[in-house]
Amino acid sequence: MTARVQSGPLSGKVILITGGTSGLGRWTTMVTASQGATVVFTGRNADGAAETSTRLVDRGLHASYLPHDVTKPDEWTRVVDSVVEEHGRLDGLVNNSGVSRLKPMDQMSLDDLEFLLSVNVDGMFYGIQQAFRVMTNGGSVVNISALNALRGSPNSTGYGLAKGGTTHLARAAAVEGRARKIRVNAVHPGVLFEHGDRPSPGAIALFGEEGAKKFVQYNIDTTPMGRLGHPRDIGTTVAFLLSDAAKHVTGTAIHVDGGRMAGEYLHHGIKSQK
Amino acid sequence: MIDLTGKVAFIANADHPAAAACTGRLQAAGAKVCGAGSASADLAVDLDPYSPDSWDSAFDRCKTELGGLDVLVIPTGATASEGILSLAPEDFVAAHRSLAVTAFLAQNRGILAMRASGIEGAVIHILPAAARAAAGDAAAACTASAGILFSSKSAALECAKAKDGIVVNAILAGPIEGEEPLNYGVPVDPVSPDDIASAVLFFAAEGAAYMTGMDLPVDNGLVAQ
Repeated sequence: MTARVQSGPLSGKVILITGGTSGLGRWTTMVTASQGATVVFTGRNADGAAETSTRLVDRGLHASYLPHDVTKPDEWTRVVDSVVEEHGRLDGLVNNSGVSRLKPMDQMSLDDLEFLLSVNVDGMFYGIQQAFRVMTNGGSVVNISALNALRGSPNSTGYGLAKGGTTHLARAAAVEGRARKIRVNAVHPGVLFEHGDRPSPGAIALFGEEGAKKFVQYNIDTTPMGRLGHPRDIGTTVAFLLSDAAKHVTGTAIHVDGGRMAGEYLHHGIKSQK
Repeated sequence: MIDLTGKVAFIANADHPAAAACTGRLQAAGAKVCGAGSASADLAVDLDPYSPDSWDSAFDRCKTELGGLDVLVIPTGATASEGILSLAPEDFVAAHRSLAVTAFLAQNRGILAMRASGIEGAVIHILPAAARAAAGDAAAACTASAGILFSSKSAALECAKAKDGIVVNAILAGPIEGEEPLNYGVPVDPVSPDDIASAVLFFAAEGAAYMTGMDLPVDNGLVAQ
């Protein structure tokens, strides 16, 4: 347990984070709150929101929660208006909510595609539009994308279509953000595990106990840094992009992936040197 | 001299500013051309670009009536829109889907149609250079074209893994003569439709059979800036 942070790199900033009810969004909420920001996180899962709040309290921190479906433009208006009404401004937006569905071409339906595009593309566009509306003194937007947006991946004709858009929308918005002093960047996580080398319940459900252990080890072996990423690693990068330290950084696509994009480790199973 | 005698090409969007040049050059090289709504093609098909069944029927007709489906050219256009702040959410979605869903279905259903007939074909996207170089006031075009680019690379890997002999590549076209250029913020001379068609012929020929998941700018240096 640590004391509530009163000052830090994000002091005085009001930050809105979508999908703060689990994983990466939860850790980004915790990191930005610990760096002094006033944080509002959103999502659709009330239980997940309660868990995020509990973890914040355990660390002597606080962030408020608003229910939010990012695929609905009018919900975006409500959420952003509510933040500005409550806190007087919006300095940062983390477009974190995202969904994945990996299927080979012959199984990818239009419904699958629409599911991927509505969250990973439309939701991010609505968020950027709302940020442009209220960030009258400049600001910073971060789109959370995926490595599938930067190179080909099997079973990703739909996911790549969506996440390639997530990344490039950030670049297009960075071009337009110039006139408003709004920076827009995209962050690309590698393989993340919240519990070190312990397989997640999801991995165990998918691969079985032994299979999940192998899956974890494979990912460690094929990451140049020789370890798995933690959601906190992404949170700290996002916090940097939200801060004034990144005031000249816009339109970038940053990998936080232990070096995966440096080579074709994932596809070819090349083992790390570690 | 590229010889495509006996090959059949399908051009998925006759409205694109390079479509007519591609049709002419493919025919001059000896290929028969099936075009979606194209008057100059050997076979013109009508289709609903949002319907997987409609694409399947069009590819079936191409295979049945022209005898193959060796080259699939998928041109995606680029038009400017309102700026992000003034673009109605539903207009962004409509503009994005008109590009992204069309190219996605043409690509995936086309590859499946090739596979069903054991054709070791070439899929060639023509994308705006906006897939790499972001432009202002073109959020839907940038978002859709970059998405299509990485969907094409994923399709390329899937085909390579399946060892089906199908290659998938993309041409990144600079502003094409006759079309309103996107706002790239830098001066760039337009490219001619014939320059795009030359690149299409290169990817259609057997010399490019080992290239897949590649994107080739034909843009007077725009992407390099």
